[in-house]
Amino acid sequence: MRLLLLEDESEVATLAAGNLRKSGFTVDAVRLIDEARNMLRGHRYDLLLVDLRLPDGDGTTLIAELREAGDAIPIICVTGLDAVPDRIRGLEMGADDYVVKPVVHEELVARIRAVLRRPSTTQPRKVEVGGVGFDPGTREVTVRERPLVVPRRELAILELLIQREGRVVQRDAVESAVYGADEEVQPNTIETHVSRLRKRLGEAGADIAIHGIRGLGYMLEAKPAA
Amino acid sequence: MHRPASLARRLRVRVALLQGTVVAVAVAVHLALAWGPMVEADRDLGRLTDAVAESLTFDDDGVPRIVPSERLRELGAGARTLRFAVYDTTTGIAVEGSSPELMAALPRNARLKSLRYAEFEAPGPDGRLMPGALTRMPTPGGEYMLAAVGMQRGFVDAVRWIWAELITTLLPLLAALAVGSLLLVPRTVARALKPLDRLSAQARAIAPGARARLDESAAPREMAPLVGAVNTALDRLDQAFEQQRRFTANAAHELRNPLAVLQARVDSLTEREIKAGFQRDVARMTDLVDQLLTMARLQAGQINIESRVDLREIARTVLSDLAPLAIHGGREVALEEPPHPVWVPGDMRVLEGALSNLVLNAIDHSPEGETVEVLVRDRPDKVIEVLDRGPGLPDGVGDEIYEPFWRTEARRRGVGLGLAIVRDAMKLHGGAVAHAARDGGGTIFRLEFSDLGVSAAE
Repeated sequence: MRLLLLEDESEVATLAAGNLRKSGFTVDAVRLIDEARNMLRGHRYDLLLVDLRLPDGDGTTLIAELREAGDAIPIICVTGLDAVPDRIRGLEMGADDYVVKPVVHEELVARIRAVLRRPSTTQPRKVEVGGVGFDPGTREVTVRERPLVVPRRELAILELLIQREGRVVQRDAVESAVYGADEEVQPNTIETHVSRLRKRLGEAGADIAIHGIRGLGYMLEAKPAA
Repeated sequence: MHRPASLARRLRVRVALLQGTVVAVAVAVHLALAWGPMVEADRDLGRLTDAVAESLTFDDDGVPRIVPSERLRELGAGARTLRFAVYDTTTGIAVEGSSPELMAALPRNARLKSLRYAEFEAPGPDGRLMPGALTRMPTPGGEYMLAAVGMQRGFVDAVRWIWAELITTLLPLLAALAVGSLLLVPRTVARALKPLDRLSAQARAIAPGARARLDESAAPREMAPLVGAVNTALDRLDQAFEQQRRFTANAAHELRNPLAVLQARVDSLTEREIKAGFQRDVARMTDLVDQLLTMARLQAGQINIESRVDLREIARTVLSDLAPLAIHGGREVALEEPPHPVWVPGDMRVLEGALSNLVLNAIDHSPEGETVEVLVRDRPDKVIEVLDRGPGLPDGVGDEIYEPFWRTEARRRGVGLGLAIVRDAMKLHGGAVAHAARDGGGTIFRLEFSDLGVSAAE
């Protein structure tokens, strides 16, 4: 993975480039928009990290140029400008993500991976949480490598929650995933399905917790290691 | 505070007063002219009678005749229309010097012996009827009747004549005018003041940082200077606003870069324990910078109010974000909301930030196993409430908790700007934040959205 880092503060650039290299990326760092243009002309990069405020102009102009020329290179803005209009401007110009300085290294790496993965997200990959495996392609569920049969509605709930592990899925989203538009949702049926799913997974030996958040929705996560 | 009366009302009242005065004066003049001339005629006749009486003389033979005294000559001088006659009450014979025309025109009963005084009308030299008076006058030479007709044709006469002519033609016109203006003045005044309403509406719609101005071309000439002055003031405010915006943008840039350097250095550390400590420090520092910048932006009024946002949406987003934190800390969160949207005009991100601060506080102060509840209501008022089962605020603590850097001693994290941010955010939305002790222990924080305030800017 080769990244181009456009950052005018030399200390930030040196340190960030060093950390990224340690995480396994190849990094070229430049100070000016002009230099970035030259580097982009001469080399192939997988991703561009851009500061917005630069000595020879605004980073968004480079983003706009690239997008106008039809270049789909993934771009993340990394900047000290955190006002909402600045963020919106960056994203409108065609940046894929926007992070505000200072950014914790692990988070930056996660964002880079997320942006690089984005084009292929149409084919979700197999996920595994707390010993529960789910294959979106075949919709097969395994617990501790052993297949588990899950009824249709419970499977729909599991599919939704496991793919958003660690995040809250709102009740509306669960309902629309489980029931068709013309089906009437009975109150508490979702809760009933979730209870059964919890029990089923627990009995099969999964280390998974499905938290119900009253009035809001559900969150699935691996049980913390005791 | 004393509030100046309505301009429209004042105009209407003044016009009505003016009209009333005109009518009153007209009526007074009319009445004065109807009665006034009679008074004048009376006085004239009295003077005339006196003058005639003093002009009646008797010669050595006792024959009466009228020898005009100086006063009578004076009265008779010029364009006077007076006549006089004196006759013997027993014979009815006119004394020399009497007017034959008057004698001929005297009413029949004027010769009654018992008559002492009478008023009558007789045609004057111009043929018009004029007031006259008969007065019995005993003299040493016998009883005589003295008749006098006419009056001074002076200024009052002329006015009365003109008035009489005018009143017949003008009265209907005046009446029409009076009725018409009574009906039209309020409407005209309202129309004339319409530009004020438009300008007020424009002014209300001007949000901080918006480049909008009042439309000077729409203002009548009398209002134009005020509108121009307001626009100039807005220019100056905009400049200050822009300066403030640039300052916070620069401050953000300058504060975050050294933090970025620090963060990157910490990230490159390999010693896990040291690294974790530094990471907490940098995170804390970053929090402080974030909060300070948020605060600076709020205090400079840098927000983007949308015409409507759903309070339920805000509550859901914030709780979804913070639920994992609460759950990992052994607390729970719960949401209660009406089944329909609760719209307010507002800046979604700013409101999310404000609610976030309250929910974070509530989670921080809740004992393990407790639930932080968030209530969205639209009746009787639009509010979001955050309820915790924490230890509650210390006794006697009031609104100072919303001052920047106010902190409880038990506070574990945060930089003490959270509640100040909540207060400023609500102020910018024309609302308020309030708190109260909760029955059964804990605290309730309430974000109150008033229907006035920003909604007028829609």
